[in-house]
Amino acid sequence: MRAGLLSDPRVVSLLRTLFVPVHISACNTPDEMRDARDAALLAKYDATTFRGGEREAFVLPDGTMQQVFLSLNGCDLTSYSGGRCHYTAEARRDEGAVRLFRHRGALALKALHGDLPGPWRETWDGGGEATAAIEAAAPVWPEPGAGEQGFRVFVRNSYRMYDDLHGAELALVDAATASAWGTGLSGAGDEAALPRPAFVALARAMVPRGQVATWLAESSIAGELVLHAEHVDEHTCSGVVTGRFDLAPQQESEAGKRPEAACRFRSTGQLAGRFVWDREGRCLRELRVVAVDVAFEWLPRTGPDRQPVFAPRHQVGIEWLNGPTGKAR
Amino acid sequence: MARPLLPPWISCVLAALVPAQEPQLAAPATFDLDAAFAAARPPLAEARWTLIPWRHSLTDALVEAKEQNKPIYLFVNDGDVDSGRC
Repeated sequence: MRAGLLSDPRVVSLLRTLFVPVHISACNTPDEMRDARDAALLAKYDATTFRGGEREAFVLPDGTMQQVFLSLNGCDLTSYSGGRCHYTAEARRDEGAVRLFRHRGALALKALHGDLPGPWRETWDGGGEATAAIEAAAPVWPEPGAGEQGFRVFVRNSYRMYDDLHGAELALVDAATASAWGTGLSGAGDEAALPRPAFVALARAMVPRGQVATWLAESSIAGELVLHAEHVDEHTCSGVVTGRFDLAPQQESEAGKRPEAACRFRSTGQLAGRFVWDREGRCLRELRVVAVDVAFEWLPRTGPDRQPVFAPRHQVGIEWLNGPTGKAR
Repeated sequence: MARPLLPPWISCVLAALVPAQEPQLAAPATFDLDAAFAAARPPLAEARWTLIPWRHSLTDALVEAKEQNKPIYLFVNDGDVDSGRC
């Protein structure tokens, strides 16, 4: 999440109680909108303002949209002079990153209620139980649904003026592929490669973040993920996981759906980890893998403004999850 | 307690398993898998946005805002915020 204020516990607590929090994609990427009606609605407000990039605004229940602002830049959209403000991870945690939210949020609440609600004042005066609860809560990462299984992939990377972007998503594996993957591991030294279609899905979830709907063609993906049996008994098989990957979009359209901002990249490296296979249940019980020895570079098409400000970095962590009514976890 | 990912003997075995035409990707001899995995996950200080009950329809949210008499906080960004593809 680029807008670091959205992980401030006070902001999260207030969004959960005093506001209706909405995220939608911008006018220039209507295919990414989950409600097709929003494209026309957003355009009716201001098609130019909402054409690309992060934007924030409070909207009153009668539909009145207040001043559009951008916490990352620390100012209303019309006041932005081009200087960077809260783009690095450290700056996004700075008190200044929430200044505009506090200012604009108070105006919206006053416009609606005539005064600021008690929880708003208490939160900014020093916290409160709700804020403390948010501070202590674990993040909510994507989980497989009932009967589903697959990889949960975490990604962190640098991108242009951002030193630390991140993402998390599932790469689900169909039940037949999942149960067949390790079935042949009957003795130490046996190995089993993840079938190519499942590897492609996994690789697509590993892409660096920062661009819209990055989706690599199959021809832009090379690599493998292999289970190597070390210890086998009648119940389980455990061992190491090895692999390699080469993610190299050939077309800018694969790198991102926002043409003016799309930037090709190449990321290569190894995959290393451990696994436990349930021989009786014919399913993975555990798997944890990370990318190692990663060589990563952005391949901007032109101009110094496209050059990355921070050294390219691409980290990947992968774990296996079985859904709640799936096989043993 | 983190364990070495690959003992030296299996590194040799795995290297021998790699086909000759492929680049020889030496597996690390010692490796803290859990620490590396934790480092690849977003830090908690930047992950609390997952606790926000995002609505993904502004049209529907306007109805909800009217029913609950609450302002909408609208965050617009290209792409999908949940997966970080934005």
